[in-house]
Amino acid sequence: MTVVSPAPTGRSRNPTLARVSFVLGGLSALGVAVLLVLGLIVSPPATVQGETVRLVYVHPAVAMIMFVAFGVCALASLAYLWPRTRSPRWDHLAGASAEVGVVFAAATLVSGSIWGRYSWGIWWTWDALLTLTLMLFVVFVGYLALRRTGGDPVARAKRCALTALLAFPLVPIDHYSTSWWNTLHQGDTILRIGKAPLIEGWQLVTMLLSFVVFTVLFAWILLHRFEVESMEARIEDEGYVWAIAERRAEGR
Amino acid sequence: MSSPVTAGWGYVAGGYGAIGTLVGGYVVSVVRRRRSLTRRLHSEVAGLGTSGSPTSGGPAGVAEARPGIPPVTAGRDREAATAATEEGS
Repeated sequence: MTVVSPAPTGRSRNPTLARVSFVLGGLSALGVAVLLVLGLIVSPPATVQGETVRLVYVHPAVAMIMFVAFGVCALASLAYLWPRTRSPRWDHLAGASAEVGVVFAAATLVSGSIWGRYSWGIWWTWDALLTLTLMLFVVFVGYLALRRTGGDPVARAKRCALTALLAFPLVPIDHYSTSWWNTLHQGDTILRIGKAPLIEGWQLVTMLLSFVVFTVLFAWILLHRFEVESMEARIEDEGYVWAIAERRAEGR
Repeated sequence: MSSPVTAGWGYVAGGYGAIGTLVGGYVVSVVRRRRSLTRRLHSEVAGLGTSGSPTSGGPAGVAEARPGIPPVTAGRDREAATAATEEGS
């Protein structure tokens, strides 16, 4: 009896993906360069914060991307669990986005700690926002560990999707913690209901630009990470085929 | 002792440096992983042939090539295929 297996195919990179990646990568590089010029040279220091106000051009944007990445992970997990939209691609997107989110969570925690040392005189405090951000980081590191467990890929994907959905409520709680509780961490700088933004002029322009630049950068990283996730899944799926073929070749 | 102005720039450098190192390092690692996996997939496919026919060097027909090796399917059908071989032998 012969069961014909799906043969590995040597597809090169999708031209559309390559083009999108080129555009996003170029825009990211250009955006980061402009952001550095505006943030470090053009925008003036603040009255109270002095030069450290320049951290406002990176830290909040990085934190926002962390939330977005975990949000994308949750949405993709929901799409995977929903029977009508179930596809391995959603699982790959969830895994890719969670990993990017964890990196941005680490960057948020480290840059926030450095800023806190200057503003509050301490590297760390168990403030609601800081603690919840740390919890998000730890929970999604656990999620990534869960993705590395063995067993049936479909059962694993379902487990991971459920975990992501259970972890997601931490995101809005973390984001709104400065409004819901008295925290050492300051609240929103720009989106203040019924109030003017706390910054203006070049500072406001640079901060708004930082959100755009980091969003484009996130899209570019996610695209690459999604491709990696898809290729790893393909290798895992077809690795058995190749291993047998290698043994066959050895036996000749 | 450093002045407050100098100290301020030190924290700015620390914050930008930390984000640059973490995100930049991650970007480099992802791009390298993608390139490495692409090369691996291409090289393995090139080594095996792509048509899947028994004469092409592809994995089809593996079951007959060596006794005891189950017929091959990918992913979750693997166990079912192995069981089918054992029943048939």
